[in-house]
Amino acid sequence: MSEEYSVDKKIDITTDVCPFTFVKAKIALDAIQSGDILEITLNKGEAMQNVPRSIKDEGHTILKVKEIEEGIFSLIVKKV
Amino acid sequence: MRQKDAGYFALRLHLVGGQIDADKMIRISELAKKYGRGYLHLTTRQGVEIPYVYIDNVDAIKKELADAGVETGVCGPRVRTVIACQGESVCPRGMIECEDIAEKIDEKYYGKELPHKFKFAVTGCPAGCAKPEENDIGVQGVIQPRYEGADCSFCGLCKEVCYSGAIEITQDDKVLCDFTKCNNCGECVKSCPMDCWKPEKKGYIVFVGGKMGKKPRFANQLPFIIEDEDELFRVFEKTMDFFTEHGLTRERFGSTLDRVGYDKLLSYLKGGE
Repeated sequence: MSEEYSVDKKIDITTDVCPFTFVKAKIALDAIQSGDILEITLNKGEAMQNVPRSIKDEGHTILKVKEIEEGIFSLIVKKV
Repeated sequence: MRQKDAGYFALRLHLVGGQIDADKMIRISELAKKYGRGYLHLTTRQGVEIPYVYIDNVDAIKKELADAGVETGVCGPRVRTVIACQGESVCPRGMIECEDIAEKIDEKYYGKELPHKFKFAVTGCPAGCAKPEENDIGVQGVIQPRYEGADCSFCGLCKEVCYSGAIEITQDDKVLCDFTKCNNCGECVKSCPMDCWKPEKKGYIVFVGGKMGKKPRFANQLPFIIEDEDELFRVFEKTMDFFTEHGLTRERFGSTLDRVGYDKLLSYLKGGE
């Protein structure tokens, strides 16, 4: 899916637990420029319940959400 | 509260929703050293007690507490400490201002005499951290969602975050919601990247007649969402009026409902007798 977007940075938080899932996403977002694209790979469940909403709360735009394999999702985020 | 040890009291303080000013807490700690045994007890209902205050010192510590703006709490057959989660102002899941509602309940009803003890809990969402179903009256913040799909990217996030499994996305990109399964938690509204899920109604659900203790009873959920704060307080007052009228001395509200009939409360709330 990332071919559809020019991804500037990728992170995988599938081995992290709350709250470090969002903390890592936030650190990654802090490291890129406004308008850049971050791709986050994360697990169904706890991470999917919390990370996208927190990203939205911080004003970033979620461009795409896709299940890339059973129970694992990819999130394409544009930094505000 | 009288302690087992003759002449000693665990002095209960008046708090709302477990919130306390940091300077007051320091003063309470100093007084616990002066009059108690140098420690505080955090109660099961978000309160603070100063254990081991000797009976001869009760008036003196109460005066010093009052000087610091701290009142003592109540026990017995009346409205007790109002508990609350931190709600919308702090918690990302919260949908109502729990502290504000709890303070208003406390201001209006704390210590109000009723047939038996009467406990309020205010919680921000259906996660229910303040356990509204275990209280005589429980209040819960809710959102009833509505789908407007013009900007929908069919990403499937709403389906993933829905705790109730109410949302389905079909092969041909249709978003379906079984509202009979929806528990009004608002996760779809809060999560949707395109803001396609809107709050159709935002407000309160009220639980009545819950209790724990020797004979636990899960509360009844009033079958409507209340959107207006004045209406919420009208429901509280009518519910307590009903308890005053029908409750027996030392009978908890849930037992009154079981004996008299929950339906009677519902018709009374709707304006009947």
